[in-house]
Amino acid sequence: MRLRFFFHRSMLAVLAILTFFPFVFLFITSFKSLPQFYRHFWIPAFPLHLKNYVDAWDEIANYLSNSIMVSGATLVAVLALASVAGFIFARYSFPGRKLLFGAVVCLLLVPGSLTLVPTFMLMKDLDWLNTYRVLIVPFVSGGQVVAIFLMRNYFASIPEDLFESARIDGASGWRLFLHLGLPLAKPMLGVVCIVNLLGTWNNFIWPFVTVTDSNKSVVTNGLMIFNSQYVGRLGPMFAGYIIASLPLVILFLMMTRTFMRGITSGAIKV
Amino acid sequence: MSPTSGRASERLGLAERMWKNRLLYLCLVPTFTLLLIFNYYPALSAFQKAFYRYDVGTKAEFIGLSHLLRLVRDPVIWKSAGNLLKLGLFGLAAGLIPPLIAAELIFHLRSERWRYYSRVIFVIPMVVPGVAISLIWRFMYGDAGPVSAFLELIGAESLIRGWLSDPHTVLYAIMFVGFPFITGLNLLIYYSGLANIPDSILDAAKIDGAGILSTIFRVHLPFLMSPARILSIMTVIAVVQGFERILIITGAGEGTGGGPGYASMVPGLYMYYQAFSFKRMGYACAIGLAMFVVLLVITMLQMKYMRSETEYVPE
Amino acid sequence: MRRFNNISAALLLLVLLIVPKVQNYVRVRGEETTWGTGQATHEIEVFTGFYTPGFVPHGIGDPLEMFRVVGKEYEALHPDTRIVFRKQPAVAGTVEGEWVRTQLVGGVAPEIVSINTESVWPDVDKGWWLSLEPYMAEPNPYVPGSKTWWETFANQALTRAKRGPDGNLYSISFDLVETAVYYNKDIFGEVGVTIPETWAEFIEMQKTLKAAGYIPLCMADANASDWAQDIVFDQLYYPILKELDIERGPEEEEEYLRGYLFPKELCYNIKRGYFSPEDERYREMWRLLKEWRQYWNLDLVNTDRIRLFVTGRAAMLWDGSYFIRRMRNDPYVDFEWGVFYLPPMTEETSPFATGVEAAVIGGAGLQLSVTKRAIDDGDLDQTIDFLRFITAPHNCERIVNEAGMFIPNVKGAKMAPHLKPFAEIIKRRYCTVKWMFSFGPEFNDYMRRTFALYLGGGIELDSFMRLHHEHLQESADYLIGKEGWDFTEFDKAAGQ
Repeated sequence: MRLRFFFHRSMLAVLAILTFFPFVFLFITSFKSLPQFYRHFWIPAFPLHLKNYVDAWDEIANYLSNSIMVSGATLVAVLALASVAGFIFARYSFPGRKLLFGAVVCLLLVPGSLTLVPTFMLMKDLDWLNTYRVLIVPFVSGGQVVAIFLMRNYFASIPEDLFESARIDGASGWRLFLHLGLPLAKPMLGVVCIVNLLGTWNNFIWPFVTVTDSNKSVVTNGLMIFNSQYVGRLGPMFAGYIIASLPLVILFLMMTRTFMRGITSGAIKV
Repeated sequence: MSPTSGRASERLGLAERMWKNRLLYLCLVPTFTLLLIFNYYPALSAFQKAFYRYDVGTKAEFIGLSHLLRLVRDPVIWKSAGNLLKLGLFGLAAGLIPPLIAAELIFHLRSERWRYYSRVIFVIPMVVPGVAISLIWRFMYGDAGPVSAFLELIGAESLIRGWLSDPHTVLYAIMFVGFPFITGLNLLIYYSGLANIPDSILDAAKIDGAGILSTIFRVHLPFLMSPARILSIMTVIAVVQGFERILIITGAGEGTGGGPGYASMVPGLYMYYQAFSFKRMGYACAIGLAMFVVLLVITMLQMKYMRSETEYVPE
Repeated sequence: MRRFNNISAALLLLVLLIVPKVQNYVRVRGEETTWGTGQATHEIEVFTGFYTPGFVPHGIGDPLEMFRVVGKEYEALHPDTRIVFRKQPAVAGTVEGEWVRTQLVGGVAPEIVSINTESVWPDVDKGWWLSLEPYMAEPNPYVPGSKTWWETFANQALTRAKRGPDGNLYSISFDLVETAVYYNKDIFGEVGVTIPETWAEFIEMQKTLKAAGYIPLCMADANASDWAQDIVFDQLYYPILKELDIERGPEEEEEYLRGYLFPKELCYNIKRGYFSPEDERYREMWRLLKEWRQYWNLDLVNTDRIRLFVTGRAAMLWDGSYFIRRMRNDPYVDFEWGVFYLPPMTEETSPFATGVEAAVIGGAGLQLSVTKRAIDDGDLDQTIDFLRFITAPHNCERIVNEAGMFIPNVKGAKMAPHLKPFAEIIKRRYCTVKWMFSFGPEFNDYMRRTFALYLGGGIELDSFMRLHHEHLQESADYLIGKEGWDFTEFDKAAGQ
């Protein structure tokens, strides 16, 4: 019994350490200068180069701000659009409902890399390259696909009686949505938040090809500046990634409970 | 608006029903406008451009099936497809099994607090951007990197290769990135499946004296089918989609993305190069079209094996 | 408690969002007020490659600032002009110049861009790049006594040789670069090897080094396809150059580029049957390269090669003069080192070699071109003027020597003394051909890939030669068609 207990816990610990490793490695390396990194791969090297963080901040502050703005705007738009659409698809019947919903869901099948090139060409034709719009609008459109799917599933799983009683009290349409549907859907909104944010925050390819103006760059493509020709400046670059992941970490810590409740609600089904 | 009034409503004409629900349609307009412009239009225009020679800066020229023919005869495409298949299979295994193991391990912990903390610990690393992970692993595969150093340590020196320069090892090197493959999201989805198992069943199994392993296989597994299905679809889409990792690992620094040669090339990356490096938009779109068709077929097959409706359906 | 956490987290996010914007705004306003009255009517954006202000070459030492200093001096002379320095990532898997091309498509390319001139030539017909030819004939106002801008450059042949196939100059060669083999004197002494005089000796000593447990030579994938190929090609084909070199260029170029094979000549020779699987000489070249490869580091993709050399695990490293900055400034380097150039191949190595001195494969380092942004923004005169300003000797000298990686290409600009060995090397004959500069990005990409496959053991020599030849034919046909070349002149010349 003891043995199994020990085995169980240590397995888990090993897996956790291995999973956490990249994060730790990023952190340790962010304090090194290049010669230090060449000589000590794993272990922290002294003196610590705190200047890396200063350099990284100078470079990344603007990108961080842009990332927050872009991801934040996208998230808000997606939440708004998807909750409305999901609610409508779930709780109303009208002609073409199945067709329209199907039209939304089948887009899930289209992987991003397929539409990369044509969407880029569209942006070029619209003259949207190197703007903030190009980073927000396509993500909103793409993000709402997954979000609508999730929200609709969730709304559909709410028992009808709750709505009946509200309707008897005279509530209708918008009120049902705002005062009953949304509050109930908080867990799933949490899931959408996290899924959507992860998708937009860490996305590299799209900003990379559409935004070449460093004023408007976001974190992922902006940090590539450090990966310059003659061996990148690793220290500041990694310091930059650490700084860049902070907002996400903060968000995660805030939202994990809600997120987990949303997933556990069992409303994710295929 | 007519919500869920059941069969009581009369059989109204189609146009009349649509008019009755006009507000609903109105609310859906923003959603569908966006979808039409930014999802449907690009996809459809790409399919159209696949039949043109369209290099940036020159005029488009209709050339019919020429691109598709060239595609079929292009050895790079077949090689990439093969690579993608290998990556897909491995990716599927990596996305389905390790998170499950971790989920089970956590599920069997005694205290609720530790179960919560453990989940958080596995979820946090999701914040590290994919780009950073790729760069880190690229270092790991260098001559002076830990992978080779480790092999030297355990005396397996003869196994050491230039991992990313050797056409035979590069694909496997890429597959191995992300070890131990416990993605927070996957873990949570599995865990939710486990958490939804009714206590009564768990208790019954315990009373019957079932051992841990047999409990897992006979009792848990049925409840894990649904999460597994979702994860498999998500994983397949992610693998087909993700060429960014290959681009950075084999391309950043000194190598050619998808290299050496075409040893780690995948269709998505090939398409990227055709479009952005060589500006052959037409051919790139042809590749995209082919990929879409293949993916559609695969997904339809996948969907056929999955049918489960347990939610509220108004009508 | 939870609510407090949530609020403080939200506040933090807000701070991260707003503060940088404010910082930016303040900085921009600050800059605007410091250089005086009036709005800048001309804003010139510049990307200066290795000399980008704030850039830290090799991640060692202080960030470079001199270009910015020179820029400020220019602004002081011309209050209506502002110089803005842009940064550009060197990114994953991209072909040379791809980033700039994407910027050009998006309309945000800087006015002045650092780019290899050979990457400019294929896109000239898109109207993206400006021909500098007319400006070269005018004097440089910042170099008193100059009659033409041409004559102010130190290495005349090289500067003029950068003209494109259409006879126009698109790039200013700001400085000169060359490669050499850096070696670890301590390891040499310990193992008992010396600088080789012939290729055969070179291979022998690498064998010895390898047996002693060191990595003999460090290479990078890009350098292997580019430099290694060109050097070996030159060694084997120089002896029969007369057969291949049909076109004779004008006198100034002839001196430096004696016998250089231009793309037109290359295509002609390809069509005539050279460089095919039956071409014994060509086959020999690839065989030699593969034989050489076993003495290199295993992984050519990472930049580990530098680490291996500076930590004393590798005996030699073939790299450019820019690497010297690293060696001089790395505080942890604890061995004696030096440089030497590759030795010639003799008959001992191959029946085709004749022991001719190994050619130069370097050339211009920083090459600056002007994009159509200068025309679109109405900055053309100012842009050209700024280019002239930076190519004045005292400016060029300061900028180049701060980095200490290259040799200034302007008369009167003194070179940094530690670069002397490279100045010696660059006096040699230029190599017969630079394959990577001859056809274009697609060719280069394919070339690198198949070569990497061959080196890595993915395909055998026969398949490699076959594939390579197919592609050579394709590229040649494409180029001939695009430029509309007619070879009757060549046929006549060859017939003689």
